[in-house]
Amino acid sequence: MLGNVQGLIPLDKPKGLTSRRCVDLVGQMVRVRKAGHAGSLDPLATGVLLILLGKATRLAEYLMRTEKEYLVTAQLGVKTDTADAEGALLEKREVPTLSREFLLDLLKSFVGEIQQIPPAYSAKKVAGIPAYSIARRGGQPRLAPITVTIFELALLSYQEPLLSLRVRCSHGTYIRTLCEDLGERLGCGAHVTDLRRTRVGFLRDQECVSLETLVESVTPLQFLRPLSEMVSFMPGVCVNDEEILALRQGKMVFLKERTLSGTGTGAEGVRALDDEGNLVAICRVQEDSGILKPEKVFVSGE
Amino acid sequence: MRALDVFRDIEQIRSQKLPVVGLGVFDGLHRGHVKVVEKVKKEAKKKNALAGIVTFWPHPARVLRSTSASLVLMTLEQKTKLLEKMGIDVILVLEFTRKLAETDPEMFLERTLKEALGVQCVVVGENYIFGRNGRGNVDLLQKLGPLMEIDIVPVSEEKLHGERISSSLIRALIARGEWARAEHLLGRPYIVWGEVIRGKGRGRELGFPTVNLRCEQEVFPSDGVYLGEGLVEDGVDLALINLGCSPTFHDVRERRLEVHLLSMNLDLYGKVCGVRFLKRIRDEKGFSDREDLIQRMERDRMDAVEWASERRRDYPNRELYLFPE
Repeated sequence: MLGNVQGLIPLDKPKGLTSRRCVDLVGQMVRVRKAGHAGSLDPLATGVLLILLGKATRLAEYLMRTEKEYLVTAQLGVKTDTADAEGALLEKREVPTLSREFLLDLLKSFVGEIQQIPPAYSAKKVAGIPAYSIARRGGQPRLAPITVTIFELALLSYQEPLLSLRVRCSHGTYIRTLCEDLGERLGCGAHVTDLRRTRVGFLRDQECVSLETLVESVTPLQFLRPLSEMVSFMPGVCVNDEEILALRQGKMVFLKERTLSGTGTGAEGVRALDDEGNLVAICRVQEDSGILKPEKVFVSGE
Repeated sequence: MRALDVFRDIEQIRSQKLPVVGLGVFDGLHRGHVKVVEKVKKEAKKKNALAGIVTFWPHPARVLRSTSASLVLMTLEQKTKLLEKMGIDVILVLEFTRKLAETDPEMFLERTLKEALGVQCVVVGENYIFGRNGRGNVDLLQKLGPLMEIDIVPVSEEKLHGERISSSLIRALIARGEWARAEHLLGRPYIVWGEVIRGKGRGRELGFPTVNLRCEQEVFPSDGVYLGEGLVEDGVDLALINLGCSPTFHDVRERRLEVHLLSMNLDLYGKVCGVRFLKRIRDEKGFSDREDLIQRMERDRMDAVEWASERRRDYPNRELYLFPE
């Protein structure tokens, strides 16, 4: 049983720990050798951190690509080197008087596809080296702009100089950068003082378990969610034993008359499930020919 | 004795590791605190490490609310000195700010204790509470500690004759004038130390020269005239103490601590002098005639001497005191 754990534990990350540290701690608790996360959170941030255990780590790429939702509070008028409350003070500027209408207009202009230059203090690699390791040594990593999508940018409150927002965005969006860019447009700069991820894909923070609860629990595995559920945003298709064998050998399978069940377009992939609902493989569908092509195969019961 | 290191800044301490620390405010260093300190020493010895204390200044209550709870039983200097006497090697005094109070317990454990100090063992009183929303308690420590590879050693609350010992109780007892009980819980006399400042010289005029003390400690009994002990340099003398605004004369506004030493008459300006309250004699009272005042003070003095002579063996007892260097 030990070592054969696979699935996801949705953790409500505590403040002050790095994402990697959380992964190690959870991995240690459930005694699984392989553990990872699907998209890191800054050490100061709290909220949804998906901890992948065992074979589930192979699903990271699919889970990472999902939409995220954050609650963020930024302090206007103060810039720091890390763009969060932990960094060294860079600059202090006067905060202009801002009307609600003005703010709403500004926020609106950030919705949609935007370009971001990732923060110097980020794990983004520059020529194979994490940017933060360059920044920490006093260097200036040259980061290429990335394209991200902001689906929603809602004003929750503004009490000078604290601006609270709800952000719904594509994966890879740097909220610190978003706040800095907002600050620049206001002419006063800004940094993040509080950041909470409230949703990753379909998983909300209310469904997450705190480190404390996890430790306390005698059976932390009760919080483990199965592989198939993790990618339930993908449509599913049921396959028979013969087809399972084929998929496991990397062979293609015809969809025939079967239709895809569940939600999603299938653009991200399709779940091939056995008759008990266990995940057999993540497949690509070739629409024209109706062929299921295995992309990632899971062999259970080993 | 090893020299005590006191750090006020966590950055300074980073090069040094503190595997064993006691965590707490430790105001008054009463018997319960002493139990924690003893446990820290024991754990440190086991690990062959320095015995460390992580404490906070100013008193958290002073920062979080400005009620009487924020009056402290001892100054930081007294606290560190006493801790040194008890055999602590390193003290880290973290400045207590609202920001620190808002720190999540997980963050404090991970960043401050684990990463910065390399703590392997934390000794805390079982009622200790810290961090954002008071979430940090022994329960939480015991859950997260082992995970982060920190041993948590809770120390049960110290009781004396069924009474829980707490700094706030001791403060209340002193303010109510129940020093005997307060000192019993403290495990040592409660002494108010202060610097001798220049008064109006009126006492000398009346034949009762007094030293006026400016104190940083803040817990006092109510205004009045007391019999007590004055601790001067390394001597102890019986003393009449006037605490209040000298109502006979109408030129004193603020509350003052004036001490008349019964047998010493020294020039003490600028020196540090201690006062221990022993017995309340009467309320502070305004006299219409200064002769009446002098007469009353003569009587107070006689009462004092009489009271003390009956207890000659107990007072003064300089073994009990920690004189400042």
